Amino acid sequence: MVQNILEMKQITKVFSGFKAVDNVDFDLRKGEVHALLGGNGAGKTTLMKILAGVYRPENGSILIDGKQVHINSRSSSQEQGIAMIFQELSILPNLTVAGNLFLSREKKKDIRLDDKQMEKEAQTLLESLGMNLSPSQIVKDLSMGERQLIEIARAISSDAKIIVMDEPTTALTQDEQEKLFEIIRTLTSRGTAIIYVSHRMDEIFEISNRLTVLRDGKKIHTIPTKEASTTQIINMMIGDNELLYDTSEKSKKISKEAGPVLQVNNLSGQKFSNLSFDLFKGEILGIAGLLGSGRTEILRAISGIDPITSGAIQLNGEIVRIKSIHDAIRLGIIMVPEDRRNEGIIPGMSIKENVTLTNLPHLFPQGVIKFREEDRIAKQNIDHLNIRPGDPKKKVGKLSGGNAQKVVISRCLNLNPKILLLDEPTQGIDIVAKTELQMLFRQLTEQGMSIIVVSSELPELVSLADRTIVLYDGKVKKVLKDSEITDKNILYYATGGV
Amino acid sequence: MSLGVERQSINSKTNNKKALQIGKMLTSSQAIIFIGLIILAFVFSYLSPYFLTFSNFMNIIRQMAMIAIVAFGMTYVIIAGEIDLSVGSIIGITGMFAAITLQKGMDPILVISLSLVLGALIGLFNGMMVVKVRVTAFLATLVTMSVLRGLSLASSPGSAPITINSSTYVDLTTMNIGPIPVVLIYLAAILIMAHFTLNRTVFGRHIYATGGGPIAASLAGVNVGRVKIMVFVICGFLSAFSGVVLSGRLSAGLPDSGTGWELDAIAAVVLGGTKFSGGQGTVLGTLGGALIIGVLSNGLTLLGMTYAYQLMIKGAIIGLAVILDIWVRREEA
Repeated sequence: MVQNILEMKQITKVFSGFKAVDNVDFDLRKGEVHALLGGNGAGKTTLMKILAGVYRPENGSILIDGKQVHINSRSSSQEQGIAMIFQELSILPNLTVAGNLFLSREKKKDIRLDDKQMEKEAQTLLESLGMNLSPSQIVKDLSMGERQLIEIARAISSDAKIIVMDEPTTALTQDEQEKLFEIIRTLTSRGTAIIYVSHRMDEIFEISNRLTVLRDGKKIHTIPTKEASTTQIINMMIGDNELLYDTSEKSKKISKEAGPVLQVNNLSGQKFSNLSFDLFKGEILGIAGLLGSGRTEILRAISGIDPITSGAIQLNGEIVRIKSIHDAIRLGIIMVPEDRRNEGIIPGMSIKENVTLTNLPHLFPQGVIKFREEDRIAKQNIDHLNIRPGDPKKKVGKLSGGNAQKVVISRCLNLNPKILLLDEPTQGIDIVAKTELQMLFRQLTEQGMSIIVVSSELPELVSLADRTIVLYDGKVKKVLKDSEITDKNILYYATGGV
Repeated sequence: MSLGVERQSINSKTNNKKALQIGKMLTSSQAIIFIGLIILAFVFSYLSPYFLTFSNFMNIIRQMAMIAIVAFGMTYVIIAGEIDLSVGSIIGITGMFAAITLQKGMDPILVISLSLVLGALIGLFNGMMVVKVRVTAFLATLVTMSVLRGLSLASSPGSAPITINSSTYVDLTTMNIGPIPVVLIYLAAILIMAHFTLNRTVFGRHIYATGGGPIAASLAGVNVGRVKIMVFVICGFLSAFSGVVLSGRLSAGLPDSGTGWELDAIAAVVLGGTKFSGGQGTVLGTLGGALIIGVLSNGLTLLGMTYAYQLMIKGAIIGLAVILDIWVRREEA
């Protein structure tokens, strides 16, 4: 008889008349990794937030070790030994690594904080997890991936019985991901149970014992991972009616006769130096590299966000000066940033207000907004990119990651850019929206747009990019073409292979 | 025949649409403000027979109009994610400036224009401190608040009031057009302009974007720094306008006039449902907030309440409204 450490029974959660979670049963065994899958709005995050005590369900019960428990706040959830690692990091940037690890359970000497003791214990913990971080370092200076690892370390250090990981690998490099998996295996061997929310099939097959698929708030199926196949899972996630786009076919319409659209010559800036590459009309150029390799910074420099220290940028053969975001926008270059929540969307504004924001001064040169015209554009965007819910007045902060990303991309496309720069465009997005977006990028290049995509997801580059530049330490290590673009090749050069 | 029917149905449709739009303009938190206002009015009219008279109503308008005008400027600043503590001192310094220059025989129209420019320049200074020097708005405007108040106190020997004898200047701020005080017309004009700018112009949209997500807005091409400087300029300008009206009503420049108004203005903005963290809010809500403060002061004075008790009751009601607003938002979320 397998022991269920957690049982959630007939859980229902209603948001203003809409059933986000509908009569869902979910159980978790001691020492297992249970993957939770589903598309946008399938109810995964809501279900997990109920477990975390963030939401209270309308109906249903939660049993831990066979005993019914009442979880009605974050702290009561923590008392039951449940730890959460959410997509939106809850790390405080101004504290040290140790300060974050011991947040809300600080060690004290009398009434003073015992920093020494905390740093000592943090050091042991970090070492046991194979993390090369100093406990006294301020978190602000760390990368997203490193922050994610601290979050994971924090959950582990609280001696949790159940750890929920929501898309834990999105900001991790391949190396860090391997490390995480090792940590997970150690934990499960000690009896800790893990709920693993992810969209990445390869990870799910590698790490999970069982998997549960949710769709439209309902549970579709729970099966042992061994008995499942990718197609079967995807069919469960998207239902029977929707089409799964095939992204394997790459565009052949790159026009090289006219010369490159964009030429970057010996460009230097923050974290990169003497970088040179070309971009052709209708091409998707991938940029790969580890965190800190300068892959984000090069996009930021070209789109006028960060200053360029030396080198030149040529558009259609002419040297251009890009000193501000406005310069770049004027030249038809715009970037979709990685940090969607802070740099992409304006959460308190509606879909309509977000998608028209960049283009507003061009649409209404007199400065007065015509609402009918604005509505028309927003509806066009919503239809074009299949943004759900399709209400232009909906606040973007309430949309799922995939739909929020579609809003950011719509905003950029409304400018009719010549060059679209994408930084981790499908990070944390479910597989349906992801295929939709990848399909869209293809379509855009067929219409003559040129795209540069930075991605740490190797399969994305493999399926999307016509050429891929591999960066290492701020320099171009290798340019890969067509069939050379493989996971292995990218990794080999990204880690410094010669 | 059929055409007529069709037109009718179209008409009724647009009417419905209009009603819906008005309904949407008032979010639920604003609805609470206006319901609160009505309840307050009921209570006071029950307790004091004088409260619901026309002349008292005009009295309330005269009192609250100046706060409301300052609060409109404050609404812009708060929506853009900043704060301006210097508004009360701008009222003081512009009043003194006007009184002194009028005494020296300067043309009243020129005095008014220069006073408004002075307010805008102080706002520009605040904005530059915040955007270019990167001082937190709270501290930057605390500095101007303190320095300007000192300046107005020093501008008159013994900090004594300076009388304004120019009848043009006084008339422009106190006259009635028919039964309506001219201040009400100023208030209405500024309200319409402020509302239109915020809701219908690209600049207004940029103010919301700046407060709602400064990084995202700047990456989307909004000139966040310029927007912030502009809202401080507007706030300074409107505070100066209030300062001119106040000195006209008093027929004097008082070095300490406008003291504490920054708090009333902020209270009006917050009562009006504008989010203190920026990105959301309306001038219509602020009008409601200013009306509540005006009705409260007026009603409590009519009931013979001393200033000390008025302060306590005012504070309690503002606290209550803010808590209620938080509850409503939580329900909506």
